[in-house]
Amino acid sequence: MKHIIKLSLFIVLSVFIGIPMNAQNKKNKDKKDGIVDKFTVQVDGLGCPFCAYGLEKKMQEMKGVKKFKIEMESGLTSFTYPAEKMLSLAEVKAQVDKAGYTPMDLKVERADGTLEHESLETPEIDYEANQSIDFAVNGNCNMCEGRIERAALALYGVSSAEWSKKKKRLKVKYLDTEVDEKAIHFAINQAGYDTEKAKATQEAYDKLPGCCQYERMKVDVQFKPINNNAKEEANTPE
Amino acid sequence: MFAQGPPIITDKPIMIGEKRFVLKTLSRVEVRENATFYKIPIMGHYVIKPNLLVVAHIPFAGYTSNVGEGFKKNGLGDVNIQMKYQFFRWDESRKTARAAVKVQQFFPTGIQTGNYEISIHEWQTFAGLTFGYEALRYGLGANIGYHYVANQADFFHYKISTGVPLMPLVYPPKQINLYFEYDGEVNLSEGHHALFMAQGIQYAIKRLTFEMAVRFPIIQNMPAIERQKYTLLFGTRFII
Repeated sequence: MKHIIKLSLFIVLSVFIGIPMNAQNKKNKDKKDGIVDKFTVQVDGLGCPFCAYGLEKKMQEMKGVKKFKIEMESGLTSFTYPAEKMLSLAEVKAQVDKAGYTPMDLKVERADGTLEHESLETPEIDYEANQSIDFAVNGNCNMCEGRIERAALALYGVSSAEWSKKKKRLKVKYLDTEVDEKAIHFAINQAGYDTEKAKATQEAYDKLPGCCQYERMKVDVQFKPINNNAKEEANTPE
Repeated sequence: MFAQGPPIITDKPIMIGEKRFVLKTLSRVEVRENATFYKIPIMGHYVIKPNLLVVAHIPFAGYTSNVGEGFKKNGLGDVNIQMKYQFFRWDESRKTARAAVKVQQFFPTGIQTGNYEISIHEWQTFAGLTFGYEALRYGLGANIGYHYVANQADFFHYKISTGVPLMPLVYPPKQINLYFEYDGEVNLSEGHHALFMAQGIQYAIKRLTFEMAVRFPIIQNMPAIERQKYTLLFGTRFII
């Protein structure tokens, strides 16, 4: 009887422990291609599909590249690669360079769920942040993410910026003697994105690619731009 | 949102990626008052580095006289090689601007046709600059250059092009593009100037492109015997 109870307990525990472990192992597991890392690269300079063709051929030289996709409108390139080969972002960047284009933002979601991110536009930081803010920023896609984060990081005094596509919120760490909250909101507005306290001009919004043109909501404008045209835009009804 | 491909007559500074090979042909039938000239080249483009391209042209050339008994001549044209170095690159999301310097050397391997653009069995050197801007909605191109011809007059060349796409953007490429190109030459010894306008159409599917253009003269400040009526250009390119 004792053995039966022990055995039953073992089975029950195995099932409960096994389910999340299996779920973890299934992450990035493709039926056909096995366990893979998922890469996304924001490539600048793709002016036509012929350019994109050159890029694809170059990337396909890395044996193991599967599910290769290029979104022409955004320049967002994605592919999977066997996880056991541990392809680095530096190698991907070098390959895009060889194709004759500019990799701006590189990300990989490893098979074990870890994320690696490298942005070419991240400036060197020689200061330490003493403030942290978290606010809503409207946007749609991975390309929006890159653009929003780059806009904030381009300001001297900002040490980190992370936008969540799911929550539509941006976390920014900055040094308040170099930059203030208002400037951060305005920098994001200039990239075409509304924040919870400041609204982008229609001109900046219109410059966004189609896939990034998010649905605009009413903004409770707290930071008003000094520029007269922008002021008019900010005050226009929704 | 649309896209466009490489221009037909105007040279392009954008290269298609390191260690890539493009096989190309762009045949030319040039109808003049006194003769019809033709050239059928086979061109191999190889990208050594992302910003360095080498090209070899092996042409078949000839002409048929339109006067008298219609004298004909054909054979190998002037083989030439070229190198293009892209010295400027500006990339932005969905657009790029590039500039390259181009040097082309012709060898006197071909028949004498009396038309340096076809084959004249003389040493020739071309040096010039090529510019290009491409965005998803449109493309612009421009070339200028100096063409040295041994024992004959030298020429100054200029070209500009713009592309109008007819189909929505898709990848892999499946496109029909219309091209409007202008090209001109100045004979630096005689001072003669010729300006042509070409209208071309291009169909591209995946790695294969078919193209054709008709070129008409706008200005021909030269003796009647040297004047062109029109030129037909047609060819394909294949990315290997």
